[in-house]
Amino acid sequence: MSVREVCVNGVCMPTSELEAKLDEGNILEAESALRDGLALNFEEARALLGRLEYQRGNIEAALQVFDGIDLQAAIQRLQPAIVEKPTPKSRRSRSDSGQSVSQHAASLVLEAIYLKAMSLHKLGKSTEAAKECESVLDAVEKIFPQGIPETLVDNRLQETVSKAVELLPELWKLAGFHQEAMGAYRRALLSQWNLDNDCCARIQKRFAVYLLYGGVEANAPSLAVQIDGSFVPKNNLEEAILLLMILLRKCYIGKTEWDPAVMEHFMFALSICGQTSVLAKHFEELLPGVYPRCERWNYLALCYSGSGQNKTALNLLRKSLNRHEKPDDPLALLLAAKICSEDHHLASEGAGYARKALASCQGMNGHLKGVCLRMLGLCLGKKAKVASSDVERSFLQSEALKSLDEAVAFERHNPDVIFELGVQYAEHRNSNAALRCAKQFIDVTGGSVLKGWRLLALILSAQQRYSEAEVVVDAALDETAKWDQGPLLRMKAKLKIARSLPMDAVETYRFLLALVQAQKKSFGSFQSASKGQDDKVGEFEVWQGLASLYSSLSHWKDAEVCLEKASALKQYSAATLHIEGLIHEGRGHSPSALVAYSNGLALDVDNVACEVALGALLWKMGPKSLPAARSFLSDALRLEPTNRMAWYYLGMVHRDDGRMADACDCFQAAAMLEESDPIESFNSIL
Amino acid sequence: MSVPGSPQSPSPESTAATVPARQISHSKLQLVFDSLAVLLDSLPDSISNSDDPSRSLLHDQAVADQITARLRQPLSGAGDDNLCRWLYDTFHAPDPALQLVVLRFLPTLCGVYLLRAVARKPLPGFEAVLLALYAHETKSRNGQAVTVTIPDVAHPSLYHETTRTVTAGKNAATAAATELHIAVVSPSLEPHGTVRATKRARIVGVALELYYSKISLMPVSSKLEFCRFCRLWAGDYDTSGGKLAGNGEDNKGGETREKTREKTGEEIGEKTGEETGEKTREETGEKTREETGEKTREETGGKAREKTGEEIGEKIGDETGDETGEKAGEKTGEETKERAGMKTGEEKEERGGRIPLPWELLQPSLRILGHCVMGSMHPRWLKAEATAAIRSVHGRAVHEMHPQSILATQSLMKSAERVVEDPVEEVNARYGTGVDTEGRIVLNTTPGAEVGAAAAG
Repeated sequence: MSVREVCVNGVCMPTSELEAKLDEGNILEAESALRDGLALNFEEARALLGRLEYQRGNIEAALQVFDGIDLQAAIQRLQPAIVEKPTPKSRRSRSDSGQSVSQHAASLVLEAIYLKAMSLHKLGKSTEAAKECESVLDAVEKIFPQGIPETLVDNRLQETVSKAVELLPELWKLAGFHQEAMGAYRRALLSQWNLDNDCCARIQKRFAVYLLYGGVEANAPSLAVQIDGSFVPKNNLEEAILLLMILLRKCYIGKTEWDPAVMEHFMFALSICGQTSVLAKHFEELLPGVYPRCERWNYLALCYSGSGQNKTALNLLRKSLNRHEKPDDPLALLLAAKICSEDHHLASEGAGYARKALASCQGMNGHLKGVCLRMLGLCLGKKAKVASSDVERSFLQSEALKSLDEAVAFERHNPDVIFELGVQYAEHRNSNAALRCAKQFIDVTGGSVLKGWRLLALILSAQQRYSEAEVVVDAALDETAKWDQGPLLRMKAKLKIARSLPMDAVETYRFLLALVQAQKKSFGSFQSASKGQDDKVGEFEVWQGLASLYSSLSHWKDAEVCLEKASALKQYSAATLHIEGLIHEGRGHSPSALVAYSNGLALDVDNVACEVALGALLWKMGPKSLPAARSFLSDALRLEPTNRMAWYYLGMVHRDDGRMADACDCFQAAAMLEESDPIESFNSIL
Repeated sequence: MSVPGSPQSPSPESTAATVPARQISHSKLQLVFDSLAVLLDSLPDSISNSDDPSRSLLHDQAVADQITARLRQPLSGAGDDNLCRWLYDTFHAPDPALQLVVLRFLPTLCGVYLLRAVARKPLPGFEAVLLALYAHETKSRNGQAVTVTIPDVAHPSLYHETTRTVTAGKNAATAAATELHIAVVSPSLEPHGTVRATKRARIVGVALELYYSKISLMPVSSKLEFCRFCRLWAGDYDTSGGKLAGNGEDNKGGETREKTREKTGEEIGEKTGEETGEKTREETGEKTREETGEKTREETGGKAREKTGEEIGEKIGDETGDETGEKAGEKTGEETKERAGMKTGEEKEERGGRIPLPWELLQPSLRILGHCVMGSMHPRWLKAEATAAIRSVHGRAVHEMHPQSILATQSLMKSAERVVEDPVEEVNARYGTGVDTEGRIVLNTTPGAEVGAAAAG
């Protein structure tokens, strides 16, 4: 064993001597031995003794020794010596012996108090420990009123200060004083302690974590520390995000080492706020090599997809799913498939991803099988919509049904799959199966999801059970708050029309209009613009609905008034032009109607309503225009194979052309579809 | 059980408001305690004789057990449920500390409520309490949304200055590109007089936001209950410990079970499966408990059969099971037993009580889970339970392909692995102990002295 000694000013003294005295309980004797042997004053000697005891593990004895130190007196003695500010030039040369001595003394005394705090902590007295620790900082502030100068201080003193600064908030936390802990963190970060980069980063990180997860709302920072023009966070989350951003920045510019934990907290904070696009920006800023590139792409894809930028997300996923990268990553495959399932033109690609995912989910990822099947079903269903032939379409549809059906077996507790299966059945005109799914969905979700109610009502309307559908809509209205009632009211109006109750329908539209206008007023333009129009009914739609209602009743004047209102809100719209055409047609102005329909088609080539109306009008105009009518109607059917009016008029065209068998087929299709026509397209709720 | 926010740290508002309030309406407070005593037959002396009875009530585990057991009873939450009435009245009592008592039971109340509400069972008792919390939050927030401004570090802030050297080149570009992102953490609040099904998640979510704002004052057992329920809500996707892990066997099992169930008639298969599971588990338990468990199951079973959905029975079966498991766990209080309890819990929660978890409900839940898993003062078993819940939610997020919650849960799972057990030790370990390698205490006043001392040694 080596000899343990205390060395001060080049003089050494073996500790065994002192320890012997301490063990006998003679603190005073040990103290005087030190004072004499090493030329120390009272506080210094005490501090040394205390440390000796502390290091020997005699915490209580150490505490006893430390208790004897009069901190206030020591600080007062230290203060004036250092307050005489040395000129910057004399910093390095330690010629000023008075200063160096007092720094040494300060270091000893401060460390003693710090160790006292630690002793108290070890004895479980967190509150006292925190108070002692705080007194270290108070003392430092008194000794260095201008903050700790950068190069002036000796290492030991700086270390004690850093330790105390770093520990104080932790001690307050342990003691359960949350606001004090917050205060200590802020004090650590906002005062001049001359902390090194790493230490500062550690404190910032701990503070951020505390703000993020601590569950205690911090008081606002005091006005004294707020500088004009600088950003002052106003709540915990904001402060945590700020700190994490600063930490990340320090990593980017190489001031501190990369700390994955910081990114994780940042990820949590931003996804909680729904700001994944900001998160994506930070992922982009990372230097290459921090994350494996595939991982980073996948993170980025999640971020972008979370903020609705699906295209960007898909492009990133295509990179990471490249066969030279990680083509079999199930999560990436599934996300890609999901994004593709929302777009007709990508559906085919999506089905490929889903199949690959299905093939790759063995063993560990076996539980994802249902999800793969679900995505496959969705993609195939979407693909069926743009199929070029009837055969292909029906094949894809039944494949989609099969996949979703299998998916339900795996994901039997996931109502979304049941819902999607229901929609698929409904589009496949299997309304009984669809009805079962819709009911099940409402049961499983407890009626808490609006689209479930809407699907049920639509399916009932497709079965011509209008009054039952209305009951469903009314029940749904009961379960929704007024701002979300728009789509239901619109549906109700259409149901009234279907039941030949036009005046009730007008009444419902009027109610809906009042709601929409009130909504606009109370939320202002900001909300409606930012929220996206997915589930909201706009004023335009109401006027348009009313216009088409009036025109179907041959109330041309009213229809025109409503149409005017609608056009005022949205100048170029195929839907309004379609109704305009209907009005012209109703009044016998065929050429104007023709112009209106063609204009509608010019605005939106895929507007089925205009196409059908145009086809019908051309058919009515005589045998010369039959081929044109036929081509418009066929095109409409390509876009919407379940449009019964298109089938009907196509049948008429065939009949007039003398193709009776074709006409028969068309009429049959029209008749069948009429029995299963919903009041709104099933697509409208997906 | 250790209690964060221990007695010496009263929340600032409670100290400010309670003292005068108590003098004015002492009788009202007394009424609260009297009515609770009537509800529970009696109150322990430790509460009635306490200087601060509200605080004692908040931290009294025995009373809490009684109340949570009542909340979990199959017929709780009805319009004439006296406990719900007591919670409602207590929340409106003039003592903010009593509001904490009500919040303390929010996890159980929400848990039971959401699991049952899916079956569209009328639960006006629970709803009255939840609406009271919602109204309180609406009022205190003035209906405003909670927003967060995402800072731009190119500009100086409280904690950093932008040094010219770093940004000088970019300054012109960044200044132009600067746009403040305003994130809505919680949208503005509309007043609600009833719980409509489509608003249920939001109302519960707001109540949970309120809970979260006081979470540091909540006893650990309350947080624990939340974690357990959260796991149930998610549907227990935690198939193993791994990231996206899960084993195929499980699903195959599910598949076959599904098929047999279809064949044999769902209810019977389920019930029997449950009961056998329950019995084996409760071999250690007391008979009385088993009896009550059995009874409740029978009752609910009857109800469920009356109703359309077999789900109800399933869920309530789960609840009762959970209750017994929890009681056993809490009584022993030891970590090992607790873990055993969790394991058996897993068996029975296999099917889970999966409920719809829209973001408005999931987001506050994730914040609470984050607190449970990262809170520095939490016992290990709470962290374990919270981690399990987070894994479940993560599994669910992956199954639903919800990017935001995948990101949030994934980061939480990773953070949870890194949790530092003792921050004080961690700090100390970073610095030297002041003793050099040879065990010598060196006080270096001048650079020369150190060298000299070393040489002398």
